[in-house]
Formats: sequence, C-alpha cells, structure tokens
Amino acid sequence: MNGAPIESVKSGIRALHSELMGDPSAVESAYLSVITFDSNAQQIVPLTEITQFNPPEIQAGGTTAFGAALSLLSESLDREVQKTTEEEKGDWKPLVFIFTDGAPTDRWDEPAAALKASRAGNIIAVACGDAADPEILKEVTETVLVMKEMSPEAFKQFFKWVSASIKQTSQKIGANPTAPAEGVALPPPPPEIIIHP
Amino acid sequence: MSLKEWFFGAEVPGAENSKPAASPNSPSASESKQANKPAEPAKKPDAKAETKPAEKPKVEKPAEPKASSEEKKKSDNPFTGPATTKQEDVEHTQVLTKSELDKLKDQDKERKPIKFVPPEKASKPDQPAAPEKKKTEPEASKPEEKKEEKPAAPPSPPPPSPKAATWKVAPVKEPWAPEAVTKEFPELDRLDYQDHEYAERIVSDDWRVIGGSRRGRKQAHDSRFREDAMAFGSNDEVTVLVVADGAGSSKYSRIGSHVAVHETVDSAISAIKALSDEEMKDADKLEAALKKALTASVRKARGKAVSVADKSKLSPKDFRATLLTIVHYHAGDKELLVANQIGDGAISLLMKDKSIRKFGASDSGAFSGEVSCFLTDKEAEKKAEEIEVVKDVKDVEAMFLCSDGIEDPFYPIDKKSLDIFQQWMCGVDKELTGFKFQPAQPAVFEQEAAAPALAQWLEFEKRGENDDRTILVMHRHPATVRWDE
Repeated sequence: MNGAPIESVKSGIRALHSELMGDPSAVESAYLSVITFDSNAQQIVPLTEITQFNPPEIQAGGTTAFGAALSLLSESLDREVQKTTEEEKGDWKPLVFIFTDGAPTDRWDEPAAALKASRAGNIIAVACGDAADPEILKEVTETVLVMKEMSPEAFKQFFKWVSASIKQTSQKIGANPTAPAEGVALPPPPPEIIIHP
Repeated sequence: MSLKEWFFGAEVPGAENSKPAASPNSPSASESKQANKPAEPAKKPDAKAETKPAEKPKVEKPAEPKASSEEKKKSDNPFTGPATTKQEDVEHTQVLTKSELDKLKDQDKERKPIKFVPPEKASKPDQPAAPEKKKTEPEASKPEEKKEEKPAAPPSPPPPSPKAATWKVAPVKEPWAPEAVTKEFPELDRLDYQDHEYAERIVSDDWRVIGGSRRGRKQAHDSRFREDAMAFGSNDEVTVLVVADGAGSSKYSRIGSHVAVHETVDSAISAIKALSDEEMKDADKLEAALKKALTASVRKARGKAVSVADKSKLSPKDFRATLLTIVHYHAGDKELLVANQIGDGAISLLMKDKSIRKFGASDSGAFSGEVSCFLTDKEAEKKAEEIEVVKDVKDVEAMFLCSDGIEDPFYPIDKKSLDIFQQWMCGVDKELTGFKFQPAQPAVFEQEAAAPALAQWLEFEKRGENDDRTILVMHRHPATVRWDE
C-alpha cells in the first residue's frame, strides 16, 4: 500500500484518535497500537493509552510480510493485553483491524492458524482493492470485509465505523467456552465496505 | 502519576454534570475569536466599562498576538480607559459586517509595514500603565503578524492533538420498556424508573439490610438506563437479597434484571412460607428444602425473563442479566444462609473474627466483560442447582452481594472486601490505593439512616470504572465487631 491509500489510512488513524478522545469512556479505557507490514513487520506504536497516542507516520511499500505481521500481532497481544488472573482484572478483549491490499509474500498459514485458535482478540480483516484475497484473510478471522475502492471517502467511512465499533466493545457479553464464539456485536459497516461471506 | 494529574486533575468529585470545556485551541474557535475581536470590547464597555477596567487586560492577554493588527483599539481599551474613545470603537465595530471587517483587516495588513511602527513608538509615552509590554510588541510585531495570518486564511491543516472529553449526563429518549413488552406486560410500563435507588430495612432483631443501585457514568453519558437491579424482601422467618446486572450488550437487559430480582424475591419467600413443619424441624431436611426453594426461585426468575422475551416476540438474548441471591433463614433455633450466583459479580461474608469468606461462584472470562452464562441462557437451569450453604451464621457479622460495577474496581474482591467492610464500619477518611476519589464519610453501619450513607460510598471514582453499581448489604445491627480493639 502506498500513495493515496496510505495517506487515507494515516488520516483515518488521526480521525479515529480524535473521535476516541471525544468519548470519556474511551479516554479512560482505550489503548491503541499500530503494526505495519511491508517487506517486514514492525510494531511502530506499542499499545498506548489514547491520551498519549501520537498518530504515526506510516510508510509501506515493497512486499507483503503478512505472516510476519500475524506472528508479531500474536506476540503483541500476548505481551501487552492483560488477561484476568487471581490478582488482576483483565482488559477488555482487544479489537484488531487488519488492512492489506496485496497478496502475502511470506509463509502465513501457520501464524494465521495460531492467531485464529488463540481467540486473543476480535479480529476484523479488510481486503483493500483487487490484489488482496479475502479468502486468505478468512484463515485469520471469520470477520472479513472487502473495500473494493480505496477512495479517501471509503477510508473515512471505514474509520468512523472502527471508532463506533471500539466504543461499543466495552460491554458485558456472553463468552461460553463451549458455544461458538459470539464476539462482539459490531455496528453495521458503511456501504463502501462489503462483508465477505 | 503525571498523566493522571493531567487528565483527572481538573475533574471534580461528582462532576457528572460538568460539560466539556470549550476548546479554545481548536482552529475554528480561534478563528471565530479573531473575527469577533473588534466586537468583543464593544459589548463590555457598554455595561461594565467603569466597573471592570482592571480585568480587561487579563481577559485579552491570550489574544496578544492580535494586538499589533488592532493595536490602537487594544491599547486604548485596557489602559487609557476613557469612555469616549471606547464608545467610538463601539460604534464602528457594531456597524461593520463581517465582510467589511475582513476588508478592513486586509487593508490593515497592507498598511502595517509602513504605518504601524511609528504610531507604536509614539504611543509609548502616552501609556505609562504598561510600558514594558509595549516595548516588546514592536520588536515582535513582524513575526507575530505572520503567525496570525496563517491560521486565519486556511483552516489550519495540522490538527492539534485532540482534547480528552469529559463526562456528561444525557437524557434517555426511549421508554423504559418498549411497546412490544408493555402490550403483554402493562405492569412493566415503569413510569417510576429512577437513575439511582437506595433502600434500607431492619429485617430482624439482629440484622439490617441496606441497598443501593446507581446508574453508571458510562450509561448516563450514552443516554442509557441503569441496567442493574436489586430487590429484597423479608418476613419473620426469612430475608431474601437479590442483585442482577443487565448485560450492556443486550438491548433490554434492564427489563431482564428488573423482572428477575423481583420474581426471585417473591417466589423464594412464598416457597419458604410453604415449608412443612417436618422440614422446618430437622436441620438436614431444612437445608435440602431451602436449597430446593432457591433453585426453584432462580428457575422461576429465568422463566419469567424468558417469557417476557417470548411473549413480546423478542429474543431472550436481549434480556440477558446476571443473578445473585442470598436467602437468610432464621426461625426458631435454626439459622442458615443459602446462596446462588449466575454470572459475574460477587458475594462476600465478613466473619466475626474479621476474616472474609467468599460465597457464591463468580463467573467471568479471560477478558473483562465476558460471562459464560446469563440467567436467560439455557445453562442457567443447571446453574440454579449450584447452591452454597453457610451453617455457622452465628459467626457472620455482615455480608454483601454486588454487581461487577463494584467487583471490578475492588478486584480481587475476596481480598479487597475486608477493606470495604472496614470502611463501612469505621468510615472513610482516605481513598483506598488505586482510587481517584472516595468521599470522606462516617461509618455507614453506624448511621440511623444508612442508605444515604451507602449512596455516598457508591460515589467512589476509579479510572475506567464507570459501570452501574449495585450492592445489597446485610449487617448485624448493632454491630458486634469493633475495629479499634
């Protein structure tokens, strides 16, 4: 991803941040982290409370180290998200949004399976444009969206939806370990985004 | 710490009503400020020119960069103060429209390099009040001009880091129960809904019940009803205490929790009334009968909540709630506590030796807010059979059952509940570690009217803990345990 789309992602993150800052509940409990992946994957913003968050510069070009990104994501979730223990109350289940506009150029199947099995977060994957394969994203999460056109408006609507989703997730939900995962009830995505069946 | 101070510092205890401060730094605000600038001094002199001349420089300080463009007006206003010059300004500015003003401003800017410097110097001796300020202005005037022009023209592309929002209270717009429900259950057309409710009752010679249910700041901010509910009932033989927490992800969970607590109390009391003499005389039979009665009551509560959903043609998932119940049986020489818990929240006992006994089986997942079984779920039928019993009631000093709005801020509650009981029995003079604020207050249990005292205790503030808070307490009245011994 580069050029106009990456600019849209950047301004989307800025909009997301300021939207969350407008919700006192999010101010007290929301954290943001950003992981980028092109030729390699890196966590450019560690999990940061939103009052301390600075929207990052994002550069992406070259290949698509999708597998490396998923491994890094699993590791970050494991390291940074507090689970309920005897001594400490756990965090809310994290919401993860994955964007990609290319096909993976590294081995991704194992990291994808591991991430999916861990149920470490509610993952929403977005295939942007024609080159991204929603079927691959299906291996990571059940919730796959398709954004055919990478227009600034589509990104804007998408990030609006993201912030609405984040605000909605800090609620008591059913989590029966034997029943299929209920996940969180997210608001309906904007028309620019299609839910991949 | 510095972070906390930064965004909590300004908050006032109980500041639910405080509105977010207007952000003067936002580009739009500063723009409009500039546009109104000439009009601003105009309004004030009219009314308060004589009474408040001294305050003005303060008010206008933040706008100092502007000074150079309108230095005449500004320097006249705060320091010379004569009404005549001000009124002239007033007349001019009042008549001007925005576009005219902008034109004038543009002309001003064009003139600046030539005309602004000399009059500045000339005005210095005229203004003994603030010679120092004036000195700095001509030096800085050029860079300042540039600064001020930039934000005025384009709508400032680099957005300043956004300000953190504060809590507000938004009125709820929908009715407490939707028409689909009230058509079938007119008694649920609750016009008496209260955001917070408190109650207390002396239930026997030894025991008093105090309860409070408080709408969370998050619910208030999102214009939602309180979703927690509580109810208790008592007669000569039995006291029943019930707390329920409606799931935030369920649309009508407030109805589920409300229906469940009342149904549980009613059916438990009538089931125990119906105990046979034989059951009441034999300790083992009594225990079995009480367990059976409690299981039946929880199932009835579930049945009621599910039937409200079914008859209203809504999903039982929309009515999800937790349910925590204690039954205290005390008749003749028999005294027994039985409890059941479905979902999260906590039940805790304070023993007379000041130890804590956890009661009830809390249920919460690996992440916050996850509950494996709600009352309206099928699995709750089975969970209703999981009854815990306390036989040594004579060793119990007090107990409470609470929703996760209290369990979470005091997590892990089996360790923190001793602190809670101590605060109720000794008063609060300092907040517990990790709390942003706890109202100082005398001992809740010592109060003649304990419910308002408990209400005050429920006002504690802790970061990220803004859910509904509901607690029912039963304590020996008068107390038999002293903390200062």
